[in-house]
Amino acid sequence: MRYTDPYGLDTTIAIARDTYTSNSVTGTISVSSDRIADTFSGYHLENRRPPNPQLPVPAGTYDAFVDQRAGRKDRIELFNVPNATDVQIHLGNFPNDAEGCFLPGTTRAADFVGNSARAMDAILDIVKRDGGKIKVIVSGGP
Amino acid sequence: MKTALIVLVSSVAILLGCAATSAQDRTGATIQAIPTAPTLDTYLGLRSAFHGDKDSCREVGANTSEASAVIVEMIEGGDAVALRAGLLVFRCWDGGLLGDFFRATGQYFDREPRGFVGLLDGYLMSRTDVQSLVATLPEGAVDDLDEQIRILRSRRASLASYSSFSWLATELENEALRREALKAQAR
Repeated sequence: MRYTDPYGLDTTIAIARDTYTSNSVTGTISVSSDRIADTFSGYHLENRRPPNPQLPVPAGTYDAFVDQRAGRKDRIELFNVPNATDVQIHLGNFPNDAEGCFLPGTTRAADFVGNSARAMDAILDIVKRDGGKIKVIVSGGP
Repeated sequence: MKTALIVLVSSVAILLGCAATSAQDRTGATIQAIPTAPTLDTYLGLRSAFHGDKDSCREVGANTSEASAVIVEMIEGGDAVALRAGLLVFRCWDGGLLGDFFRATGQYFDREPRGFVGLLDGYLMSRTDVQSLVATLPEGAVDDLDEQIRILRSRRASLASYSSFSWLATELENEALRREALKAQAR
């Protein structure tokens, strides 16, 4: 899926689910910007059974922002996820690193994504250099 | 007559004002009070105000990320009152904030395993809850399977003298073995 923004203001993060186990959902994550040429393609992992029964995140398009706190790597947080709060793209390797969030990586295996920090750095680099709005498009059922 | 009306209106206004602020004035009735005064009294105030439902989450301020994030940072730093407050209200939390809480409780367990296990007795917890509280690894260990295995085995060793947590020690070892298998696959 490719999202285009005629005003050149958006970074688009497309998350496409394609593999389901009893513990996790994995898929691809691709990031593009209409302002800069760099893109990122990698994988993502979600906890299939987080404590909030309304998660994983329903398929749809969400506005997002960079959540910055001292002492930890920045995160991308989605706005207006139905019946959920603090849904983010953040570091992690295994399903129990996520409570309804998306963990990015550059490799994947069953219930695992690898090189999460490298993937998060690449995503944040595009988002920050674009400097505009962020849209997260989630496809595939939870 | 006019004077009596003014007195009546003033009295009603004062009464309404008192009712509106009484909840906020109760010592420790919100989680915002914990960072200001991290004492057992403050925690007990929070405990008496919190009833475990969604409305209660709102009433004690546990539905806002900012106040809750401060509590989580305090737990990471080893604050026992903040840990008690977190164990009380963590079901109000979700997503990345809940994950941060579990990462913080794991780090608290690393510092003070005996104190942590002792505190758990005071709260109603499922095995899934306890596993998340102890087994979730710090963000600094992400992508470092050797470090993750080291932490998991250290936590397992800390549980060795608690027979009621032998199931959790087994889970921690299983997590370590999964990581060893991944390392072997990557070779």
